[in-house]
Amino acid sequence: MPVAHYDYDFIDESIKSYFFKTNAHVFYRIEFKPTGYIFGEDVIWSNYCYEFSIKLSANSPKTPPFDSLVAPTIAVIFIDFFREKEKAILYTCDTSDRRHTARMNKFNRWFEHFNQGDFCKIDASIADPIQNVYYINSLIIREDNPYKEEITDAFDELMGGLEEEK
Amino acid sequence: METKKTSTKADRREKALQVSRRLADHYKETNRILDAVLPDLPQNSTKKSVS
Repeated sequence: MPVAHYDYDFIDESIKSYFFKTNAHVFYRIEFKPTGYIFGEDVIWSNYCYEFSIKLSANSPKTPPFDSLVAPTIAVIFIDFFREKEKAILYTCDTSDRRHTARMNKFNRWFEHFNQGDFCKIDASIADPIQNVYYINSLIIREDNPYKEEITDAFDELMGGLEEEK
Repeated sequence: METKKTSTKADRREKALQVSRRLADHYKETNRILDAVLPDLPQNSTKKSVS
């Protein structure tokens, strides 16, 4: 059953950009930027790995008001981005303000809410003794990604074996 | 041999930390916005289709 969401615009360049405006005139820009630097450029699937960012226009409030249509719109944009099944996203939950557990739980519930079994999310955490934080890194990938095994193996190789207790 | 093993693990850890620090910095603003816009869903919420 379709979910109500805002209409959005899309610009298909090397950075994939989506735009939408809320009823309260808050302008969102969601960008997906290639992250070839993480796994190196010598594997073909590296070109399909991205990081995303959500930005607000300069005249929008720094902390946007809650709007029940924004989360479904972001989900629809994610699904549109993943129409190309080879794509993968690397995501990191911010742990610098010590609210990471609540933040991660919220993100996970939202992810599961909209996931119909088409996607999987693999988490790995690593402690940073210099910054005195630990990072929770996630790989989000389609279950039917033809490079799923290679990408998850590379993610495990990069982050695996270094996991810390949450 | 033992020394080489240790060094390799240290190198891997350093690479993982570098990537993690960069990603954490990149996602700081996005996390702040997600904090504000994502709903507080119950743990076992009913899934909805967006197709």
